[in-house]
Amino acid sequence: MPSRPLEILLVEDSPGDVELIRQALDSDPSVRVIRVANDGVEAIEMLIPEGDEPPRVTPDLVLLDINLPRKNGHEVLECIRRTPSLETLPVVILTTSSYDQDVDRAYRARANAFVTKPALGSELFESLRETIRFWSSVATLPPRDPGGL
Amino acid sequence: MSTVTRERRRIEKAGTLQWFHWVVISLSLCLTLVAWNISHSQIEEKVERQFNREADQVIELVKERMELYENALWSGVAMIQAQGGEVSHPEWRRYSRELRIDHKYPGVNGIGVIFSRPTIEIPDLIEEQRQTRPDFRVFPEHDEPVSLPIIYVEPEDVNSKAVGLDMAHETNRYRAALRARDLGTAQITGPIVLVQDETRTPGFLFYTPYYRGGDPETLEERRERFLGMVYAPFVVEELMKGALASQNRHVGLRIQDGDDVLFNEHEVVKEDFDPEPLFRRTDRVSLYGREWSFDIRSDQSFRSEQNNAQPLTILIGGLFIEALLILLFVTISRTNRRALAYADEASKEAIAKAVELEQLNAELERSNEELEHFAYVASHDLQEPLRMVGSFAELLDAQYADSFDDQGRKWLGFMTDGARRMQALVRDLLTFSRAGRSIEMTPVDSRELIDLALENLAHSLEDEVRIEVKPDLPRILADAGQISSVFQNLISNAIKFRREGAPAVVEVGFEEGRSSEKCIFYVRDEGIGIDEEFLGRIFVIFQRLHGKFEYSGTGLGLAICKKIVEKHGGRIWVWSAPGQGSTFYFSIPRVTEETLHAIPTP
Repeated sequence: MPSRPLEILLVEDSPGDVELIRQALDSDPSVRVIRVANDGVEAIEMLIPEGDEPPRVTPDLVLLDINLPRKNGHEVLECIRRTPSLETLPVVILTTSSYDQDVDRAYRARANAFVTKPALGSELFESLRETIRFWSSVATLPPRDPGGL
Repeated sequence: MSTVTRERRRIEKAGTLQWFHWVVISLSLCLTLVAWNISHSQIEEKVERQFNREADQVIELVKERMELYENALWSGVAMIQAQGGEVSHPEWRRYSRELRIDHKYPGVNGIGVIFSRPTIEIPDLIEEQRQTRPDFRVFPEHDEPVSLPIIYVEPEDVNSKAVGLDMAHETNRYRAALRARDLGTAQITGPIVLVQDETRTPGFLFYTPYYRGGDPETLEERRERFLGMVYAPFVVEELMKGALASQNRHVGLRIQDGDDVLFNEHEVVKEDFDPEPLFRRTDRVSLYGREWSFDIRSDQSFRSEQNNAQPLTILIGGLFIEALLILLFVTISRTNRRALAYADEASKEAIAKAVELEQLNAELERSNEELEHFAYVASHDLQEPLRMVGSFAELLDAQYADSFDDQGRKWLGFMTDGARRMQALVRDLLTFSRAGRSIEMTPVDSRELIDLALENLAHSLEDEVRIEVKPDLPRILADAGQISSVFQNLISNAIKFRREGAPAVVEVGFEEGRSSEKCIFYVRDEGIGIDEEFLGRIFVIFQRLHGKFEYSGTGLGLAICKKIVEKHGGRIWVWSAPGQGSTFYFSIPRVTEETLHAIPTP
């Protein structure tokens, strides 16, 4: 059981969806949405350190939509995985698409999970909460600072 | 070379006259010409033979007649020699009368006796004769040692001028007489004009010698015992008339003795004379010491007699047949050309049609794809805004319902409901657009598919619902996911449309199809049934038979089933009656040995 709430970076361009997700997660104290990036480039700028600078955002988990402006979710994921310090960062794809190609590509790029946003609102809350609960209560997260690695 | 091209070449060739046509025509022409030629030459031969026959006949007639006269003369000789070489005038008269020359020997001018006396004895002879004939004389005078006067000649009236005429005075008469004497045979003179001939036409004398005391053997004996000659004067014209009169002749005759013309029918004025005779022949005939040349020509009547139409008929007939043959060949080749042109036209049309159809097909395919793509994209993109509406409506309902009054809550309810239904429609539309695409046919146990469908429906299965699945369900060749969804849809419908108050009993089974390649599945219920007039319509997209609030559903379910089944190559149909439940059937290819082997193994 972690001592502090699970910190989540939400990468989502639809404000409505951002609101829904916040609503879904607000009632859970073990979780906290710390930042929201509205497009792929923003997400990358937040996560990936430039030069010797430390990264601006260091979440425990990234909720990543695929259909983003500028750079889409696949590209963001690939950038993340290319960054040595972010290789083990848990990334959950949360998207409307259930396209086989998208799913396949995501897992190949080493996404941790692929969750299709259900169409109905109630279901959305349900699956969101379940997903988050898994990551906050069930799974053991990778160590934040590998230290001597 | 394809069979079509080969055939076409063949027909093309048949459209023109080929070498063998010409061979046939030439052969036929040759045959005709040969036949005509043969017929012609045969006719010619026949005609020539005819001419020769007639010519021979003419000559024979003349010869025969001459022989006849010769015999008459010899009989005279016989008479005289029987009397010892002497004959008196009355005796000769009587003889000649009995002979009846006019009747038996027409053509001869008379018959007479010539004495041979040495010229010095002539006066004595004259005196002798003058005892019975005071006017008797011998004339004309000459220098020959022997005289040969005509003593008697009967009938005397026409021949009176000849009595006493001395043969020795004239070369022809004299030489012939001497020849007769020396040879002892009948002789004729060269051409002369008889003194008794009023018309002064060609004639000759026929001599037969007689001797004293039987036939002499040697020349000397003949000369020594020569007494005289029985002779007959002839007018050639009369002779010929007599000889040739009875014949139906088609030839003309001209007789010449040397350069002298004895008898001539070859004159333009004569009837039937042919200035360009078909045939001509000249025969030299030795006749009693003279050589007569018989110049025989065919005349006009011969020409017309021999006009035979046979060769011409053959020629014309043959040529006519040629013409027909050529016409036939030309017609056939023209017909062939026409047929070819027609085939070309027809195939051009057919090709044009085929091209049209292909284009149409391609367009249809494209528009189909566009539609499906559109449906997919549209439903996909529609989901997001719908989710916004639906989700926030729900949130509102959950968190702010108390802030609303009854009306507000009612309106909120309508909105939520609407959003929910819209989402269901869009979801079903998406399913519909995706149904039947990228089908992966694999052999699969149909029982498994039904079980999967039942699992998905687990939450809607209440106690009052009983599903009966028949045993021994076959293996089928199908896309597992999609056929499973068909079962799911049909079973779900069966449950949904059950009769009020009655438990839902759903039977799922299969029957053998008419062809062994398909099996027919059925889902049977005892629900409310379907009116007959709607049985066809229910498979149509968006078609609903009940109000929105009686039974849920988007009206797409059966349309989706139909699409999937038909993409599998099967059919879907229903049997139903109101109040008696419904049975939905659909056919699916079953797994056979062949289909099993046809599938590439993964």
